[in-house]
Amino acid sequence: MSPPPKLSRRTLTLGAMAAAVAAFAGGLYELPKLLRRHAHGEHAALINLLADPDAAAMVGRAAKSDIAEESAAADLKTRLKGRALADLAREDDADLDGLVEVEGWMVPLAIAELCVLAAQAM
Amino acid sequence: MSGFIDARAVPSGTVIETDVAIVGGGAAGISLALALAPTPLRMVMLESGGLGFDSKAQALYSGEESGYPYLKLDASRLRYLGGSTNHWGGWSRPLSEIDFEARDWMPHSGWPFPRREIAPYFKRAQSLVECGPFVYDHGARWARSQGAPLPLAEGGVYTSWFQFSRMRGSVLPTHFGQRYGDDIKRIPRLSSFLHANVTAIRLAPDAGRVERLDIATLSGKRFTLKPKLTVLACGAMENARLLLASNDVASQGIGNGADLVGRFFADHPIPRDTATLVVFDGQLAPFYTNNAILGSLILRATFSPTEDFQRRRKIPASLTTVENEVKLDELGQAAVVTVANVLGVDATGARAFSTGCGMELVPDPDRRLTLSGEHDALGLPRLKLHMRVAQSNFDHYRTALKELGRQLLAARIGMIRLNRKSRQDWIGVMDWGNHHMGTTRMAADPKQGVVDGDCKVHGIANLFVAGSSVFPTYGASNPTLNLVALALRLATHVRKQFP
Ligand SMILES: Cc1cc2nc3c(=O)[nH]c(=O)nc-3n(C[C@H](O)[C@H](O)[C@H](O)COP(=O)(O)OP(=O)(O)OC[C@H]3O[C@@H](n4cnc5c(N)ncnc54)[C@H](O)[C@@H]3O)c2cc1C
Repeated sequence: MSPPPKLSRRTLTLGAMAAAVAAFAGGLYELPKLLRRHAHGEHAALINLLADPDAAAMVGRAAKSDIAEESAAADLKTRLKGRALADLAREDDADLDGLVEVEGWMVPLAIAELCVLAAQAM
Repeated sequence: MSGFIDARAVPSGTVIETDVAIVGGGAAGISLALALAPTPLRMVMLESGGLGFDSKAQALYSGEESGYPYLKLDASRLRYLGGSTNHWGGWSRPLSEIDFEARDWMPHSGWPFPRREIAPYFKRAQSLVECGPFVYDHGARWARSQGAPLPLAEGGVYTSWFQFSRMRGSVLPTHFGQRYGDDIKRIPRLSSFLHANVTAIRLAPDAGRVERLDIATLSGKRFTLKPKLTVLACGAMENARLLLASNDVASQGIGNGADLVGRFFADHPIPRDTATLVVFDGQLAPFYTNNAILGSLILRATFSPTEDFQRRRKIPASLTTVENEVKLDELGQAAVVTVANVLGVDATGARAFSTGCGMELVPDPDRRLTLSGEHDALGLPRLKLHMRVAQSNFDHYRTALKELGRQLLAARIGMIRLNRKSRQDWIGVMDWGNHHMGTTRMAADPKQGVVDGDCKVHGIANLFVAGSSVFPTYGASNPTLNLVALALRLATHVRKQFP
């Protein structure tokens, strides 16, 4: 098992995070959640930076058949190196090969990997 | 003679002589007649139907289908003056340059000439289909009062534009028979016969020329037309049927020496709900989901792969339409929230839309019309269609959708879900454009095509074909504007045959 990626508050660059996640028009999505759950374990710091780790975990469960947790952790560790996850997403969405299909949703690989870790941690 | 002539009143055994016979009074036949109107040529137009729908005439169209689920042959076209434009949708867009190119990664692709050959005819064709000014991919400028196109990141998909046929005021689209009936009647040297079915094209004994056409009415009259030149304009199914069934002199059918008549049948699959497109800020200009009506101009924005992307990814053309707004399921909401979150984007007002599409099929010689053992009320063998759609067609289209999704993400404005993957998925949402094409394909080499670049049947001096049956590659643009342009070009060749 590879060591957990080095995580810092910078990693997610979620400055806009508070504003980012909220309800869809018409109350489709009930966020921000009042009772927010927190991730535990080696990737917790990274996952807990997400506004809704449960949502990420749900995506992660759908992605698990295509992305193994070990490879997700290893890949994120190699790529992050103090950079922001958003930077990785930007790298990924520069090319079709950087996207993965999660039950049809086209998602940057780094985000899908984080979701897989969230699924494990939540 | 002018005005419409009821063929049922023509005595059996009558023989009529003329310069040009136009078989079929649909978009192609009517456009050709109008283009030839100023010439001194004597013309006869033979139209199977009357001025309105008649179930007995319509029944002449019925046939058999096998293979991939497809429409009934008599349900996807109309047999009376104006032809299938009596129920067309009016969607119009010229073919692109790449649609004319032979591509080594797309077997059997390519026209015998580049787009610039028919480009000069688009202006007049545009006016015949009554689509207003020729704007198309400059649509954004014209529709800017309604908003801006999505600012997609640089990439292989762009906002492309369709225009719509519009007859008068709120009447749309142009029904060619209704719209041009009076103009046709006024052409001084044109005799237009209604209820006149061509049942055979009779070749001279040397099989090099058309000598006469057999005509029959459902009331039992039979007479003959002796034209110097004949243009078949019966639609892509019936053009092939007449050539195949006229097999008394050329036993395999006319123009069928290379066994190509009826092969390469194509249509545009238009499956529904192909993807779910999410716009993070919920801002989507209305011209994506509805037609923008701007005076005489009706525009609709779609997404198309660029020619460069098609070449790089070796994919055919397609268009993606944005349809109705949809609600996301829990996983969809979770995906949008998580992705927007990481990208640092506000998805508070996100909205999701279902997309539709129009796809170009790759040419396939075994997607084919043949004659069946059945005969219609006039004794003509009926058609049998064997439909085939390779899964790769859908896979190619998914590549274009993925690229659209990538560009939405890269621009931080949205994302996409691909809703269909397996063959069953696609069959479940399949619909068709009713755009019949390819069955008398055009090629310079008689071994590769039924007609040459002038739309003349190889090996027959005085027989031409008008309509989308000559399209050797199809593009994703709807055919009518293009086949009208081609019919106008054909008029110039016809004129040259009578120095
Ligand atoms: C439901 C539907 C929606 C469509 N929507 C669009 C759209 O949005 N955009 C677009 O570009 N295209 C659309 N199309 C396709 C469009 O209608 C055709 O491209 C166009 O009508 C073809 O013109 P045509 O003259 O080649 O053939 P047709 O319109 O089929 O006309 C052929 C004519 O020949 C006559 N005929 C047939 N056999 C004989 C015979 N043996 N003797 C004498 N006469 C004969 C028929 O009665 C008919 O009048 C649509 C078609 C359908 C059915």
